[in-house]
Amino acid sequence: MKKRSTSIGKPAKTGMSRRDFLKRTGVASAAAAGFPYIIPASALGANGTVAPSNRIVMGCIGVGSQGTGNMEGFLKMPDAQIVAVCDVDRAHRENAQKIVNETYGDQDCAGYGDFREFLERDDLDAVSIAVPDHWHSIPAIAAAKKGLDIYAEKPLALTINEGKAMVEAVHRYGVVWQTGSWQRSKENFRRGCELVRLGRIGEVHTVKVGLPTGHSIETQPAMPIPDGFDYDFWLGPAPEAPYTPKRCHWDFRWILDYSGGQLTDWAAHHCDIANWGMGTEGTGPISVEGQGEFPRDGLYNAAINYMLECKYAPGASPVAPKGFTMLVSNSFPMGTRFEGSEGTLFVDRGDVLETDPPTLKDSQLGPNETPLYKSENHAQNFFDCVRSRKPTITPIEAAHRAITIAHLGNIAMLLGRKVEWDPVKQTFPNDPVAERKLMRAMRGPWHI
Amino acid sequence: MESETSTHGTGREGSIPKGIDKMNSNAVQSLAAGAGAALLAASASATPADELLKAVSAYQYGQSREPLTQVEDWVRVNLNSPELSQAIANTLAGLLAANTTKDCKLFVCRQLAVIGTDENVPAIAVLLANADTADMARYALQRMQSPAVDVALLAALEGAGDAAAGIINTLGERRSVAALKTLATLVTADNAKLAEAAIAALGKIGGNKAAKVLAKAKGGVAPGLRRSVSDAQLAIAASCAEAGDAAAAKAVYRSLTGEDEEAPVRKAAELGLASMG
Repeated sequence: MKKRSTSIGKPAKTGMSRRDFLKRTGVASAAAAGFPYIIPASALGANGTVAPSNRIVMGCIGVGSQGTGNMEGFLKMPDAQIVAVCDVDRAHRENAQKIVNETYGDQDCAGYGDFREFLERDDLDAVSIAVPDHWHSIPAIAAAKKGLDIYAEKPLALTINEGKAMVEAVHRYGVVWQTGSWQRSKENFRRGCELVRLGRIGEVHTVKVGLPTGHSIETQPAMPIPDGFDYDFWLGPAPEAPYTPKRCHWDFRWILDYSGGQLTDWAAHHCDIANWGMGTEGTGPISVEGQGEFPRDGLYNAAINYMLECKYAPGASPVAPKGFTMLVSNSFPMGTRFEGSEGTLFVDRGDVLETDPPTLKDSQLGPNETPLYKSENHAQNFFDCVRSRKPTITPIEAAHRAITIAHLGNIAMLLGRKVEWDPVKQTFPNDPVAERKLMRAMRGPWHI
Repeated sequence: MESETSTHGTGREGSIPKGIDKMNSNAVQSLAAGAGAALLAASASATPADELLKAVSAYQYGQSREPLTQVEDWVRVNLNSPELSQAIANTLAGLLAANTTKDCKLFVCRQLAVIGTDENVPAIAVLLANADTADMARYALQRMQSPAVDVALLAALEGAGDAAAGIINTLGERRSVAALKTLATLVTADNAKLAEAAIAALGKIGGNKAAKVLAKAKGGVAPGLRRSVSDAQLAIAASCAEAGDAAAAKAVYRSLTGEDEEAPVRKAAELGLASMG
């Protein structure tokens, strides 16, 4: 690791040097006094542990429910050493610090309200980012510029252009990126996608992606901002709006200023699996049309019910030489269903892998067939790739292409018409109105 | 409690995308039923009811959003008619100059972000002069193709106060070559926010002129902004490479490989060079 030579042991707020480590463990003084000394095996990396000098020093930006869940997962990993957390909500921040400190048995976890100050630390190897969608691009790009490896939540970005900028930054700075689309690290999804890619269901003509239904809520009154919650920072690049509890934290996802609704939230899972199975992670549809029901009143305004029809060009997928259609809707069963000339395959959470014919799922790989990338643990895959510098199982380009499908669907629904899409240039050919939907002006002074 | 919904999308008179009816009849019924109700208030017309505009003019957060939704329907239904769309944009832009609420103006700017044209730039630009409304004006202006937008943004920049950084950001996002000269003067501004915004904007605009400005300014910027300059230079190198100007790209990348650059910048420059063979 890039700071491994200087971040031996549990790093303090500003990082701990090897000298500090020796001092803290008493080794230096004991040695100086001529006494024999014992270093705990865990500090040396024995007994299945990772030596402190070889741990990946991490910080967590965004420690609400999802971010804290991710952080707790990292805390269980012997590879990781969490040294700082950052959140605009003091209650979240202090809760996360408490969890980290209790885990490590000290008081060393630093807390920040501003990710820019957090990123000025010089002891970080990697960051976890789990913030509302409208905040995804800014800290991620800032972290990439610092050369930090990134584990970040889905959906990748609020807009297509923000996603493109994130892809560019990650590639430009050569950092490792893992998206929180963890279904890829589950064997049923991997195996299902492998079978589709190997042509076991023949030429695929249709993929049906089932996602959840949205929500509406009545108009909410403006409320006093809770003490310790930096609401203006929470809004960040989004348009100014009065505080009301149902706007913030988990509920941001029902409001189009901060999210694309359930459509984008879950497309990052099941559309991602659709792309993985079809081998369309580097491309996209050539047209999208759709129809959705949106709340006419109240605080929330993202689609509740939706049906998208995405057309892919012939050859876009190696298993669909004539092209294929991807249908995305909350009216389908949750999960991803591939329909081919020689069978169907359905995958979903709960280890679901169903095929027709049923024997199809027992198909073995031939000697010349390449198995699909395998990860059995999403976080571990990230840490392994931080060390190896190889791509993770959910690289940023894949995350971008998965969520682009949902963004295109929202754009088509909100414009009330079909949109044509150039998946290479990532533009709407001859459609200046749709082009305006590729990005949104950020509230000053924020930019990417 | 869930509120009434409206249907948006292809076949806005209730038709559904081809093939969808084969997939799930329940969903189709729901969508089709919603479509009729959704657009009762919207029609192919440039003149909505005065009552509707009056309600929108007085709209404040906390009130029913229904009048706004009706205007959204009205905008969407007429999107395919440039003439009607322009007339609608003009009507809505008129609300910006009138004694309307701030929430009304924000809503109008959201609509003009989609349908605003040259004709509406002056009305929107008035909002740039006020830090309280400048962000919403940029929301409307940022994606409009008109060169008049760049002129308006540059005119508003001087004396923009707290809104200036946002205006610079928008000039950058618009890849406004017309802003190069002005931005060049801001790179070494005492106000670090403005300088940082100008540096980033130059990186987005790209090209040889921006590259020269940044290279020249690098030694003179505040210490904390040197990293921003390097990042902008990397962006310029990448855009040069994408545009086929390999020589320019390599020159910029090579200038960023020295020990005086931070490690992530050096690595990025080396990666850039390696990608060009």
